[in-house]
Amino acid sequence: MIGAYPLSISPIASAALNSASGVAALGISISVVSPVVFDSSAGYIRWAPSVAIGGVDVSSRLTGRISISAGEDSARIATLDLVPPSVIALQGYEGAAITIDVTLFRTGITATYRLFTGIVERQAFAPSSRVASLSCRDGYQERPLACTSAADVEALFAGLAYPAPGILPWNAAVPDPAAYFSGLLETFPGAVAIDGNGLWHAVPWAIGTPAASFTAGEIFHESVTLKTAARADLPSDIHAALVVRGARLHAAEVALTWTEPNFSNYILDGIPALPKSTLQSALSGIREWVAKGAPVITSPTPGTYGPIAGVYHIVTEEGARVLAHSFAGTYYRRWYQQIEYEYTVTIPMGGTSSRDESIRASLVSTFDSSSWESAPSAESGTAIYSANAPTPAVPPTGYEGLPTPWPPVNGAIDHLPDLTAPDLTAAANHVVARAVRRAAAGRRKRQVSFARPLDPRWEIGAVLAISADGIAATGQVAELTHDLDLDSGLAESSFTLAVPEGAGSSTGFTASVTAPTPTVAHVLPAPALGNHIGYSTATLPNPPEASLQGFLCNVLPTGLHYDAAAPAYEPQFRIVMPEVPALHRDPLTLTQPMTASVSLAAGSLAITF
Amino acid sequence: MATTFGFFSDAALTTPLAARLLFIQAVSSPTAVDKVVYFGSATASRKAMANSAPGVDPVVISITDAAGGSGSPASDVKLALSSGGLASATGGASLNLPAEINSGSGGAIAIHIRVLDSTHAFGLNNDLSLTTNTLAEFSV
Repeated sequence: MIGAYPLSISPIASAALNSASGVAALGISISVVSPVVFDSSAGYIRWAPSVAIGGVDVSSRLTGRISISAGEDSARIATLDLVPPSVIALQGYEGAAITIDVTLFRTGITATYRLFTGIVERQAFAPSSRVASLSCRDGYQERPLACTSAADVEALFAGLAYPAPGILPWNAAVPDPAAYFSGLLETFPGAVAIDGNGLWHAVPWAIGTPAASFTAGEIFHESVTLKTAARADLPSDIHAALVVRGARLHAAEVALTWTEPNFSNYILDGIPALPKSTLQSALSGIREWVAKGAPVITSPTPGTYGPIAGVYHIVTEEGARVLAHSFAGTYYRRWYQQIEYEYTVTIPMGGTSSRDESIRASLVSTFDSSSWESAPSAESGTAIYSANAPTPAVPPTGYEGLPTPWPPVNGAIDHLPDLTAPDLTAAANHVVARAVRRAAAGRRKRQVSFARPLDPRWEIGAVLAISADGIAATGQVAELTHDLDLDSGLAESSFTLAVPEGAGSSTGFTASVTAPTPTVAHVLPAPALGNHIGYSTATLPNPPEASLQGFLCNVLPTGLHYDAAAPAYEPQFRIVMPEVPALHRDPLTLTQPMTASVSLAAGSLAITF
Repeated sequence: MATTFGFFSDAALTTPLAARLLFIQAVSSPTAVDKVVYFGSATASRKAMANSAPGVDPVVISITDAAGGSGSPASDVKLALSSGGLASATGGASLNLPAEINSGSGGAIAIHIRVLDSTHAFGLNNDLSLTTNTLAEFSV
């Protein structure tokens, strides 16, 4: 018996894949503060640190100092001392997440700031005092390493770096995000850093209106220092060069014609007629040149020629088939020439050093020029029609069977098929960006440092101004340090401002390159194919060898013009094709200016005694 | 098992945001402060969907206020998927993400947060948080 059972389909298959559920959350704290808390006027201020390790508040265990330092293109580092409550707690610190906050108190006012977010890198424990010294670091190195694509790395620069796949490629098969990050960083006109909240920032080098200005009363006495850029940081000029390597493809053709000697030479001097086989052998022996279409070789007309002095020259039907009367054909040659375009731009630095710096990068086209040059025309094979070939609507050029591209006849083109205009622009931007960053970084070595009561408002890249101890400066924060001493109560922030020379407010550039169009016109001389008869009274005693082209033969000893003292030739059909001039054959380097406009952000600095 | 999806400080999802995100606001004439965090999962081959109707309902990020009437109001916070979107975002409004979010840096979604204090009162307000709807996480 066959029963009928209802078929049910349950969602069990998809349910099995549901491996987790829950809610994701992120707390937001809003610290409402007053700038009065940073006022340096008479009064007092209190401060209290708040440190959480692995989500556990360890503020009450703190002792000694807390120090946090940050700089451009480097990790933010924190060190602190604490007394761990237990061995388990001590052993749990390493690798744990840590946040360091500070709250400032002034009468009626509080202000909470986050100074550090990161992980505990390592600890040093002193059993005698039971103090653990923790070294902490943000995730600056880990961020690039974790990137899995070029886009991930480029996102770290907020789109302000200059990738160029032709110069700085991303290898998807063996990714090296750290190297790619370093390469891109060299093109970034700014700095990257992680702030106190643990957020990554890409900060352009730009110095506009200062966010705050500090006078002598707001800065610790004698804390202001000025450091100028070293001579090594300021070369006289920075030269940037983009080298583009590719192939210049040439094509040239020459017309060859020849006609047999007058029949009188056969009668009077007994010279031989030229067999077609000799002519064809000579034509097929031409190296590097190829026939365009089929050369036309005509036969003499059968018949009797003469008489001269009663002697006839007779061309039989059989003889006409194997003898050559004339020849006409066009021969072409195509070749490539390695060519380098060097696009250059110079950034004057005005440094006192006589040394110049150079930045150079290359783009290389991978076009197989050798294959292009050596591939013969498909038309050089056996012809299809022996007679009455159809007439095409558009007469063939003779080059249709050759691999593309086809340079103009007796001309040339620069061929870089895998380097597009955007590739070229990206490469130019990449190279100029590296030069701009090097120039800007050199100028930013002129720095003013100062210290003041704890001021966590400013991060890397903030624009500040000071006027104290005879120094009036405006610059961008390049380094900062916060020091909190729980024993003495010291709470100090130190800032190093980059105060570059110049007149701009931002760091940037525009650059463009244009691929030139080659103007090449080949005029290769066609060999003059004639008839040269040796042992003749008419034979030149010392003829230039280059002119001895065509049919070479000799007068018979019984001939009318026989001269045993005259030069005799090896019988042959001689063709010497023209040479390509070195200018169009040897590797060529052409220098092209790059259109570029550069702006370097500048601070201000005035010194008075 | 808890979801592996959460908030990160970077697009490559290397650093989970374990601590509260702190915004500083001046007590008088505050100016808006923007920060970007990333939502996703660093665990390979995972996908998050709304548990209410997986693949149909969007994943939603809401601004929750644990202490209504004190601290900061939710309307002080705006969310958007782009920096340009913050200008037209409504304070306190939730943010819809795609119905399916893949793990890995390729699936990370940038969440732009703008805070502008309206209390004008000193203090540290810890009452707000960003919370997703209940997520169902699948292996892919």
